[in-house]
Amino acid sequence: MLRFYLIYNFTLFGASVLSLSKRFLKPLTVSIGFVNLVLANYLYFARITDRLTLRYSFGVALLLDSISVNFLLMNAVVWLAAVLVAVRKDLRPFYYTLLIMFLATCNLAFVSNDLFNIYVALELTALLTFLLSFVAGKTVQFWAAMKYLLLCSAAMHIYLIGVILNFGQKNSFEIAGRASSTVAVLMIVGLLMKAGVFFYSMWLPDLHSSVEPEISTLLSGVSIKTGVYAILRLSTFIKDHYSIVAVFGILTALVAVTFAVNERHYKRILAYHTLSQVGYMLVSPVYGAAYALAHGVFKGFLFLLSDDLPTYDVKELKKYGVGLPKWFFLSLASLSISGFPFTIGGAAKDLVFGTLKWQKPFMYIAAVGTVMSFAKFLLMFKPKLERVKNLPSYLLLSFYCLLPILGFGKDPVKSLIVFFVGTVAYLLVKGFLKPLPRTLETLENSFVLYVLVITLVVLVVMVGA
Amino acid sequence: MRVVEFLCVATILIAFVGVVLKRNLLMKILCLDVMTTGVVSLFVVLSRRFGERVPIVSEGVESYAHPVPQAAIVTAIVIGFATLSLSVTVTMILVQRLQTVDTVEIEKKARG
Repeated sequence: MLRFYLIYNFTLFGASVLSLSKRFLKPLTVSIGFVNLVLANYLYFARITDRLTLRYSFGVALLLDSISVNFLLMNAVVWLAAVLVAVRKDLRPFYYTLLIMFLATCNLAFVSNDLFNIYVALELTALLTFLLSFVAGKTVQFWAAMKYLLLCSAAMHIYLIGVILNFGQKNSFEIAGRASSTVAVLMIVGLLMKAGVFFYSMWLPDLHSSVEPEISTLLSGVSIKTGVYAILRLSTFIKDHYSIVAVFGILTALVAVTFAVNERHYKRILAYHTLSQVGYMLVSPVYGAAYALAHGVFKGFLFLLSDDLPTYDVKELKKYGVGLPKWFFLSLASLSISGFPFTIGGAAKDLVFGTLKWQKPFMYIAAVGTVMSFAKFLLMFKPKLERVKNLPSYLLLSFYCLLPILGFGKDPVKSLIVFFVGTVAYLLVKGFLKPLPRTLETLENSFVLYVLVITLVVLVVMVGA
Repeated sequence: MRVVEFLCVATILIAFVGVVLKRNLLMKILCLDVMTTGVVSLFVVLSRRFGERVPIVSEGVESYAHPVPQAAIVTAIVIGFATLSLSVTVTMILVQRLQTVDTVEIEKKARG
């Protein structure tokens, strides 16, 4: 199966490069999206596992298992939804080429299973993300993309040092056994930058809020998940130091949600929530992949909806109100991210919470925070009828929001209590909320912050050893 | 041989400090490239731990340098080059529009 999958993705690369005629490229892009969706669904529901190892190689391998299929399905759904929006716009053919390449690269990134392949796949997605983010050519987008590239390549170099040190000890790129402390720390600090964790990835709010709606869907839904995938894949390899990742997961869930509750710009709220939601994936390595699937669907949905809103300012938006079909989609996505029972988000949250121990109270606080920042969208209903621009994408994403692929959730009562507490808390504090300063997000400050967290992690590990 | 390895790590660290502290965007990109060079040399030097000779089978030689890291790192060189060229291109556009290479000023102007 994996051999076929490899050939399939290389075909996608070929198709993207060879077809540069615009008339031909748009239908091709959409049909690739549907084929890929069917394939990903087959892989997901048939629960196919496979392994492919390069002969005479030193651990270079591809692996298709329960972690991969979750990410692959997420990639397929989010990509198709974004592309259905992208083909309606009149953009240069090169843009669609990049989109197809992005799909193939992410597909391969989500099956790679050795240290060096992961590096190559992550750097490729970073370069494609960089190119995709300034399609519209605004200065803000250029600068946000620049920050992203500088921070991520510096971090990936640190990861690469870990790879070669590990090769020196074990003579292989294979993910097996346990990493030594130095290797584990170098890999963790490198990968957390890509995964979108507060204190590391301070490029994220600027980048995800300034790019075009369909691109921010891809970035938030798929691009950062390559980093999350790498960490989940390495979770047994770095098991002795996984608590560092878990602690940063909790911190990012709590701190980012504070920023999000106070924010007033629609896309920045979502960007902060991306930082916060990555925390849920990292605290529970067992169900992290399932949560990533759910997050891709509802966060992609919310980012796509920004294309249909008259303004990004939440206060202004409240004045306009949101009309009927739009309000239905907006509230479905909001309920899903808030962990409402019988949505994909609620089921995923129940799965994650079921595996937590000491982290549970912190994550409940974060969950209440999430409800607080999304309660306002539920209250924006106005009884009027509005046209929606991207109906096919919304229908696709609503279908996956309501499809019980992760079960129905074990504990609907608890989720309802969290939802109720969050809504009440929002109504109580809504007069005191003010956007927090963005000082941490400048390039200089994020680099200095990065150095500080690295020092902190190194100190903690040295004291622990 | 350990000395050379430490020199490579030192190169990476110095370059990283440059990336963090330099306020000139072009210098930052340059430092990032030096960092790539440091990592690449570390790969090459570390593969010499396994033996001294070039990994081509020849008579009377028993210990060869490990060919796999040297082969793998070619990919990283290419990626480093792609990163360098793309970031320099975008810097060109930014400088054209904002008339400065100072990162703090770009940050201010780009946010408007």
